[in-house]
Amino acid sequence: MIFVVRRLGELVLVLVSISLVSFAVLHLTGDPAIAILGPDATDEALAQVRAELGLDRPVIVQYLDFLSKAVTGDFGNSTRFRQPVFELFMERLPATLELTFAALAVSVLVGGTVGVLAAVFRNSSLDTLVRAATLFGQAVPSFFLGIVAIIVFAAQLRWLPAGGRGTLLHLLMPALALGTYYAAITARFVRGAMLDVLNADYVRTARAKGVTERRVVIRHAFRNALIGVVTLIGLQIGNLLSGAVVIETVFSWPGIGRMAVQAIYTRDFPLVQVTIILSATIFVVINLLTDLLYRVIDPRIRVST
Amino acid sequence: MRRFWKLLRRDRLATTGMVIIVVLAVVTLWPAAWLPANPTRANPALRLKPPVFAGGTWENALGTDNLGRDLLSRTVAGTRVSVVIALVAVLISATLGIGLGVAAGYFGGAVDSLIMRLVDIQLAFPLLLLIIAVIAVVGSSLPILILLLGISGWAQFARLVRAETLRVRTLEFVEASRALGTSSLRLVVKHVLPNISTTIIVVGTFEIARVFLLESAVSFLGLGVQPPTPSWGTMIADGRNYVYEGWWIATVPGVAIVLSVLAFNFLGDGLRDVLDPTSR
Repeated sequence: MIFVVRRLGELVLVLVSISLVSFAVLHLTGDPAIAILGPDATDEALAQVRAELGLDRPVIVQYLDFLSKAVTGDFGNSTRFRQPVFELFMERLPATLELTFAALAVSVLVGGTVGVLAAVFRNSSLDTLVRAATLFGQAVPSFFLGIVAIIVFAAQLRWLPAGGRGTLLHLLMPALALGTYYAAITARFVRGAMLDVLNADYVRTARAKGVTERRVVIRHAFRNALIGVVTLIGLQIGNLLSGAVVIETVFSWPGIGRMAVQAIYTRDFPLVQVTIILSATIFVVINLLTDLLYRVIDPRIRVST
Repeated sequence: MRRFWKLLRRDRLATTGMVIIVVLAVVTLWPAAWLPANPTRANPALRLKPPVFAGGTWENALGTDNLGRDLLSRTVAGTRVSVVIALVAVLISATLGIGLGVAAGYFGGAVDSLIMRLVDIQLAFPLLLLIIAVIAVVGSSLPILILLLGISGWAQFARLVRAETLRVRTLEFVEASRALGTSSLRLVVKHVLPNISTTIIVVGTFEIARVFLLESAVSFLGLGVQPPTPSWGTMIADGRNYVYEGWWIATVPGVAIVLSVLAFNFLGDGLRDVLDPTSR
């Protein structure tokens, strides 16, 4: 229980620091009144706009006002699209979630399968191949992998579309490009976890009892190796979400990452702000849930803290 | 020490890593005047020349980009930029992390809890988003970029250094020294730091690889190293628009990143195996 309270406290601290950074995005980037009226505006006009926007109040008051509005989902309007930025964010979020979960599926299915096989056939040529692949997978930047995939499968072979969102074919390359790095981490982790349990006493006992090797791997080893994997996957969701920023730019994927990067170029700060606050919030909440879930699954940890 | 080299040299991957790192060092120190061409000078007559192994000429051994700039010269210049950024950034995170980690492990109590909470908070932060946010506010410049990348890694150092400090603090000779009245600072400098140096080297090696990846991603988005200065990430961004007529523009710097990251990961794995007998 103490643990849960402490973690919730941390969550609040992280969220407050995120809101401070994002508040600064909007308020340390020059005078918004000048941005609205242009450099030739008279002093009276500027003062009037500042009063309308509440910019003449102390910074602390402005920050608290910003926070209280943010809690209700009011993050202001986009300077470029003249629409509430919260709506823009929610419009783009499904595309990013689709990409994130497709990449997570790549990580779990490909990485998990390959990791289990490498552990079961330890020191075989398959194992060596898997280990080499995981080393490479962790060294190739996702955006470079994405561009190589575009060069090969879109530009040369013309099998897949080079960008955009729509069919499953559109999703294939971005999901693989984003998921490969994490699949490599999953494979390495699953292999290690499986090797640990395959050498554990209770697995030896099961074998000694005459349980078939297939049953030992599936029933006894894999289920226990899963405990650590759950945490790993939880941590990956958050990282995939923030990694999507780069991959969306590569594949012109219409998600929040690409929107945020474009908003930085067009100096649309309310839009930058909402993207950072909300995606960071999703990130830390998922991490917290993972941490709690881990404790529910594995009673040994629950007892020790 | 000799035993250490012998063990490390027996590790084929670590040896490969070290060879690549030596090449990186030479490339980084290579004088700009000895490059085959000026890495930032455009030459429309030489646009989109393929590398020599794909039908190009030795004049531009790795081809040219959309502006006719020599890719070999740009990759060499970009290597210098990326290596310098990574080294300085890791130096910053190591300094911060070692200082805070030793303080947490050595003094314990309230200092320890405070620092460990900071570590948890830092690790819960979505790094890439944070870097993007700060750059959106203050604009991109080399010092800002290095500082942000440097701050991004301190928690890794702090966590491991703290654990090691806790271990070293209870060693008999350290306790004996403390009993003799040695001051805290002197104890840390004379006994704790030398005993945790191997951990620091291993973490630092992996951190360099991590910063290579992070910096190239930020630069790829156009928020890191700014043109005309070449860097691996910006070169790949240039190549993104020429996947049909110039596949080599993105591929050449991309291969440079992959090799560099691999090299430091290989060396890190090797060092960890040699320095930490329990993992052998």
